[in-house]
Amino acid sequence: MSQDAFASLYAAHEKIYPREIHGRFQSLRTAAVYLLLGLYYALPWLQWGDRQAVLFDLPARRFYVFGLIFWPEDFFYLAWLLVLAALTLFLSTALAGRLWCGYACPQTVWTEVYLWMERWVEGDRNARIKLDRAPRTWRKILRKGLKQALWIGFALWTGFTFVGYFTPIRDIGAHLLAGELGPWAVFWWLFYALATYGNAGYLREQVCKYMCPYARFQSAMFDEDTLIIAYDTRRGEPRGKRKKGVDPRAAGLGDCVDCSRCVQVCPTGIDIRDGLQYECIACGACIDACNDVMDKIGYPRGLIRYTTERRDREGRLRILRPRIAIYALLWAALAGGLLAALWGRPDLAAALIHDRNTLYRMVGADRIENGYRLDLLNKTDAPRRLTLRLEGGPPGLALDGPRSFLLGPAERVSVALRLVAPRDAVRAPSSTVVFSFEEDGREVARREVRFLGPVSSGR
Amino acid sequence: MHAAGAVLWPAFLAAAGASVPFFAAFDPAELLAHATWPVVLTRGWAYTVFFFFFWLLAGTASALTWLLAGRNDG
Repeated sequence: MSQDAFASLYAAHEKIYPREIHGRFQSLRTAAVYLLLGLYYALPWLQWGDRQAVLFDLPARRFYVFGLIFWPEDFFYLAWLLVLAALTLFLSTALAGRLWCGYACPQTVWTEVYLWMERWVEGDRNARIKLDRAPRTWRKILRKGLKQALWIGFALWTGFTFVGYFTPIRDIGAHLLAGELGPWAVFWWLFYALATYGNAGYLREQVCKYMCPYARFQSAMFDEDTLIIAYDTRRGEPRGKRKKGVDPRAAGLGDCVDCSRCVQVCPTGIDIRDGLQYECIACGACIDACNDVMDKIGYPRGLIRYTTERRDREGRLRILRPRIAIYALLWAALAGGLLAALWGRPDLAAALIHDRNTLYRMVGADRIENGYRLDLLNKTDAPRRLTLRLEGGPPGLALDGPRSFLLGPAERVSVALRLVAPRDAVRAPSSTVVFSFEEDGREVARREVRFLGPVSSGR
Repeated sequence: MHAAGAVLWPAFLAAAGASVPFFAAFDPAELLAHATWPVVLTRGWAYTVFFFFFWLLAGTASALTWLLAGRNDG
């Protein structure tokens, strides 16, 4: 890459100073911040019995989610969940545009909090612009230093919480104080803290504009019935300043007073009056700002508002359409299927594999032996006792190995088993043996395996 | 800066997408025990090292694409 390319890219970016606003959509956004970040920071501290309620224990290779325990074998559920999440995004985008971007995306949510901290320390938009342009004084250094301290502190807390999803968070606290936190935990803590600090403090809207793939392909889910935020050109133009009390129509003006509030509040620094742009994250800040101005000068609200292309053209909303129906049906099928699959999830995993190296072995002159590996996994939080019963196979078949298994909570047991049969009883090169696992006299798992013998045994 | 983001971020997603099913299928502790070159890593470190290795690979591919496709970045 050439130096020039970088230089020009740097020059193209101008720092955006979003102005503070109040209004319906800002309140929604604030509520979303509290809800989502509240969940993020509180969840690892919740206990379930005597363990952390939500813990992705990677070193032990198991995930705890409240009453459920997931194993690498359950990867399927995770994949299913991700497909469901993607479909949720498609459905919500087709219906209401970039709801995700405006209210729920971690990038938006953390940026919002970083802006709050910036505002507390450096003041409102004008004060921030002035401070940045001011010469370096002690006051400026103090302000900037305080902001950095808040930002870094918040980033460290965020990183700490992130690691708390993978290592018991109550232990990390103690380990941290004792200075014996594992190196990879420290690494991820600082890595996540740095990512938060950089993304929410500095990159901000650039992440949405230049890095986010969803921002680029979300338009594929749009149609002319999707909710978008738009400026009412017919009503607003021609825009212009005016004296108080002047009838805009008589002066040949539209309703837009060209106060540029909608531009000042925009977190991505665009002018919504230029039409729908891919930079727009649909946060609704410009709606709040414009409504506020309209109220003040006594014009009706809604010069900038949520609308659809069709509503602007034909004056009607069309919510139910084939695209929505298909997304909704798929979504319901997947969500229902996932719930059903989780509901009926076996709480015992039993894998029985025939010895891969040897088909069968002769023991002495008159007996044939087959080897197996049995893997049992107790997926519950309670201890369980299983007994093994055999069905089928050659007459006189005997098990060499344990018949009874005590599995501790969430314990995995792996044992080698051998089946032995008299040589004369083995009449076929291959026969089926059923392993039936019983708990309290009830069959809880059933596995079929092959019992192999010499090919010549088919006499 | 934009180019760095456009290269690193998709590579990050790809690395996450590669790591999750890979480690669901293979236990690094067992995998490393059978490795051609003896590697001693705890699981925590193995996940970390492999993730960054995947990121590096995907990032290299991303960067080459960026280079070959004419640096036509945002």
